[in-house]
Amino acid sequence: MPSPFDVAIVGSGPSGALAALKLVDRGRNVLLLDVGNDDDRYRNLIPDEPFSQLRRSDPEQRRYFLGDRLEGIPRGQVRVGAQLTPPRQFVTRGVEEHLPVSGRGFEPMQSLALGGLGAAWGAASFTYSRGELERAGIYEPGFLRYYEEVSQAIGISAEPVDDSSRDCFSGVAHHLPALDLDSVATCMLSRYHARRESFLRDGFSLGRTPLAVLSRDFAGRRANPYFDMDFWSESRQSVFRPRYLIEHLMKRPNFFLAPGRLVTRFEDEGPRGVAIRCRDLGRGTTTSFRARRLLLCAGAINSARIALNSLGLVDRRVPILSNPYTYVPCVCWPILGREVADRRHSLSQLVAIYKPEDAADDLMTAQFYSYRSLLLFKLVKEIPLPPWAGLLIARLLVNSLVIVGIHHSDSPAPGKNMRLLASEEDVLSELRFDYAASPEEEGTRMRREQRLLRLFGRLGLIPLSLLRPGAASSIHYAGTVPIASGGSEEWGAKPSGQLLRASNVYIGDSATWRYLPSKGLTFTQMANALRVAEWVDADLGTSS
Amino acid sequence: MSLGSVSRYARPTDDEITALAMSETDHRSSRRFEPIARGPVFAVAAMVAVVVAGAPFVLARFVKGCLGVHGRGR
Repeated sequence: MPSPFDVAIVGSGPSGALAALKLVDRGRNVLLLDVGNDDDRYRNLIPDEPFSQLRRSDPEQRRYFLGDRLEGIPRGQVRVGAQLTPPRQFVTRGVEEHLPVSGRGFEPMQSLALGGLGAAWGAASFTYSRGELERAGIYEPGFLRYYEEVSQAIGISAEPVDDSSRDCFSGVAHHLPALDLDSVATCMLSRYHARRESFLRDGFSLGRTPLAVLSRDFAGRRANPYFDMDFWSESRQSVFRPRYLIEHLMKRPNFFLAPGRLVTRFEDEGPRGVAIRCRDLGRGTTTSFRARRLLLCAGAINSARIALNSLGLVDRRVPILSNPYTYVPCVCWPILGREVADRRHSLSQLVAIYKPEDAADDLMTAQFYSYRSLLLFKLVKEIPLPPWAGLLIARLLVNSLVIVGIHHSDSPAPGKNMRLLASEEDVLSELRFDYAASPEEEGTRMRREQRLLRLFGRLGLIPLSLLRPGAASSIHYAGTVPIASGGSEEWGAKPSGQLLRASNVYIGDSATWRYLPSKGLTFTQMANALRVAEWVDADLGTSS
Repeated sequence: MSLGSVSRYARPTDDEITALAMSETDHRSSRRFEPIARGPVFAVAAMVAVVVAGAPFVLARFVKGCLGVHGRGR
């Protein structure tokens, strides 16, 4: 291994993986530091067969559908992370011990997994408009080319001429054909097209969700088989996971992975580069690495935690953004009681963009999922009837059931912040969150949601309930190390991602964004990571 | 008495859900969990009948819940 490395990257999630790819391609010696928890139990257990067939024939199905410790049966109230199926639960393993959090009204999902939260990503891939990128503080002329590069690296299937694509997948030329829709989504889309002009007048557009899921074989991975097993298995690697890029990079001579390492702090040593201190979780020892530059891609919460710990900024309140999230189980009444096609994928089928009359530049997005492969007992749990009755209702409804996830944008406010409670050498101390939207903000959101629900009615959807699982439940976080406005701030980053008080340290994830649009952030996180990686590469200059 | 509290007490317990999940993931009983698709009229009529038949259960659970007899595990 070379020492010092040109660049050390912390975190193997979507941002870290794409930044590593860029810097390795540019010939830099890259060290990736990550805990890298992985699924060592279920991955090879799940047959490559359709959900309906496995349900009828596989005597081993209980192991992966419920888990060896029955961890797939949610107990008590539904909490953040309850949506993870047993084969995905490695994503949050070890978090309570190593990434402690507390506070009111904010229960974030964090990850120490290989691929980070990207290991459970829903794969919806949205572009931000120029206005949204500018509000976030990350716009640069030509930003679109980063989206293109990501699309070419991970494979995105999309329909570029949909009405919603104008706002959520704009200008990306390199993509695969869109995936096929299931029966319910086909019905909703045809009802939308029958009343299209009226929907557009109301600021509502609907189209297929751009997905980082392969509709054709691509770069050694295979097309989605429409087995409806995407929440459970990694069949044919058709749904992108950052792990695939890391495994590809492992074959390159200038890429080095140090697994099992929890980075706790750095020390910027000016011309000598940066020293990085880690906990080796396997051996229980402390190790150090040196690099000329450090790129933090540990996610908005933990990139900030490492920086606060390193700079000794205890009790310093820093902002936190998270898309407010509401989900709405609905029945698509034109499908009620009818047969539907078995061939389908499990991820978001459609996306709606809603431009409220009172704020057309502050979009709301809604993603539409069908439910079929998530097992009926989870539905029965929420039905206030005896189990036999709930099961009958679930069997009657499940073909027509649509789960709609509504996201709102988020902006900084005095009531949304977090702080580190202590600065320590070899552990990451507790972060305390204090996140509360103002009553005005809450009221505006609810009014907009009511208008959106009326529009859903015209698509044939009957909402069954409106569930707000609480702040942080969107699993979209940003804004903890915001790009500075050019004043005399001591906390924040430059537009290049360079940390204000440590010039050898950059931040490549959404920590630097000053605004969080309502659209899913992962695709833009990856594009932004490429942008920051180019700044890091330029900063290193021609010597290597 | 609110609809919310009735709903909270009437929902199945964790033990009941565990038993249901075990049955659902047994391939020998999987037919009992397959979707029922016999037309929209049947679906609506069946749901109304099921809700009516389940109403006494809901009421009994609510009363037990209010009296603290019914351990819900929620």
